[in-house]
Amino acid sequence: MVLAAAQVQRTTTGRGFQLNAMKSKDILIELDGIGRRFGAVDALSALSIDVPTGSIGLLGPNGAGKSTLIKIALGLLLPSEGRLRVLGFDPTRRPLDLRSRVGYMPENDCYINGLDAVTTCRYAGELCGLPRAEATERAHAMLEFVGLGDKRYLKVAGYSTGQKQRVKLAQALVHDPELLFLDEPTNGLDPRGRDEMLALIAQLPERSECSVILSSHLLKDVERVCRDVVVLNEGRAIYSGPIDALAGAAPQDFYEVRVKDRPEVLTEALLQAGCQAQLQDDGALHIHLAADQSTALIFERALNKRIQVRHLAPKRASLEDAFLSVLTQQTNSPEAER
Amino acid sequence: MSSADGSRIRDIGYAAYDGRRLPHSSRFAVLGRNTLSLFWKSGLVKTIFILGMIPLVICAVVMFLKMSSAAALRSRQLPVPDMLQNAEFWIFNCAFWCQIWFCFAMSLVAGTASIADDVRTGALHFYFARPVSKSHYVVGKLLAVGTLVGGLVLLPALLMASMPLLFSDGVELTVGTKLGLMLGALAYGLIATAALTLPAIALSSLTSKSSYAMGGWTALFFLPWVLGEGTASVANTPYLALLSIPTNLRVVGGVLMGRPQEIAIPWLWSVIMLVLFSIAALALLWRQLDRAEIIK
Repeated sequence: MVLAAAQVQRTTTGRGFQLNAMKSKDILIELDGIGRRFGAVDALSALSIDVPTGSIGLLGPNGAGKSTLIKIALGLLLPSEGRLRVLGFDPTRRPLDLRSRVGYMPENDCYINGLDAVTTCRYAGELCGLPRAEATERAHAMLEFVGLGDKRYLKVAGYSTGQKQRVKLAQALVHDPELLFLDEPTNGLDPRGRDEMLALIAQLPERSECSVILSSHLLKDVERVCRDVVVLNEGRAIYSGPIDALAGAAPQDFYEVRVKDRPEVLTEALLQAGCQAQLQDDGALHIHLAADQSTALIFERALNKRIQVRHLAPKRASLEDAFLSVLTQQTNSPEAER
Repeated sequence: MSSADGSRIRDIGYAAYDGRRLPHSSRFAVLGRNTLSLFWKSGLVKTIFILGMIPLVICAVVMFLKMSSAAALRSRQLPVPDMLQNAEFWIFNCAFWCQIWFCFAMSLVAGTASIADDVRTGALHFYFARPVSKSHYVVGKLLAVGTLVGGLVLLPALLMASMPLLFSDGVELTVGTKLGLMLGALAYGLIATAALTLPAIALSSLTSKSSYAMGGWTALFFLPWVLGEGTASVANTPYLALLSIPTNLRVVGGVLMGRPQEIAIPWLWSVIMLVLFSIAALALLWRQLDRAEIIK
């Protein structure tokens, strides 16, 4: 985007990012210079974040390093560098103690062939240390909770993608974890199912005193559930703070302009006039005017180039724009180019 | 409000759990029990187990009849016919081969699917995202498959070994001989279980398709056996047969059960080969799971 590069509000400590919310809360995850390389590729690079309890969104495009970070936090992947503590445990040293306190809903399929939903959840509970009777009771309760009560005796392998997502959530909750990692929990859900799933997740911290780390590439999902967000891109944290403040990182309001033809000519003319303009894929121009500029400038330049303006409307920058703006800034930064 | 998949989230609340939690050391038992119960749901596993028991029980009954007849003839001071004298050899041979075939079939069905299915369905995350270590996982899987294979080996082996104890054919057996026979049967059962279970599970960890693991295990079982026994009979060189798991089991089983040797292979070499096979399989399994539990 060529729109004004907004200042990304970062609360940077000596160790890196620190979410504002943590000032009054306990720290859930401490990352200190965490890096992870896969061959020549840096999946995560010098990540230093303190994550407080509550609902935290882990946001970023595909390949940003979100799943890698979750796997490192669970002790499923060893970091190439740096130190971390999750719930006070070092996952590289005491993975079993840590894993008995966390729940994990992986992004991909994760079920045991031949088992029904109740048995799957009971088994998950037993593996987390619950006695069999208690695990059975919890399995039924959690399946009711996620809306699979009437299908609980069907084989998981035969479930739809949405139903499998629900089973994954139920088995992640069955042992009443203190921290829940949700990796793309709305994958494969239809809009209504997605709404329901997000509503359910949003209530979890309050009801179960369970903190939630929600990883998603969909801003709307994170926005719905979390108050704080960590934005990752190419293995780096590029924003960390309240999700509301992310909106402040968005470019200011702009005008959407549509012309009869030759939009690229008008774009060029406006850029020469000192406006910030960007031609969108759908042919619309997004134009940001400086304080001393008015829409008359757009019409004047269009007239000069004999271009017919057919539509001009003010637009409010969305959180999506803010997210994209933050990503664009990071991608274009000299550090990223290096 | 309902989703396209027909299900709907009904909010009945979330109850916290404040009950007791079992120590991490209980995981392998949980894993073994649940895996065994999952295998037992398979009709094929049940069929193999039941069919595998039938001929072995028949062999034990025939052995019982043979021994009781011989004992009855001896008590009347009548000569025991040659056919009855030689029957023992045939019964043991028949029992051995039935046992090997059914145990192989069991390891083929249960063993080769045990980890491949977990890899295919992403269940390794199901286990390792929980307080389950690699050793819990390996021991749990071995317990499950080993119980099925071992059940087929041990029960008939102990039954067959107990027959000479019931009918000592007029010769008084010492306590040591009786104990030796039972311990021999037990040792053979454990060796055979390890030799037939570990390679199947290890091969299963190499792939996400159990059919590939099945193919690999079948080849590993049959090729050295056919080649080894073939060269033993044609070139009179039994040593290639040391690469064959069934041949080694036959040699070791014969010694432990007090049967005459049919193949000129020193039994200790066979034991060493079986131990080597098992260690190699365990090492392979360990290496593969190392990647699954914690990726370095």
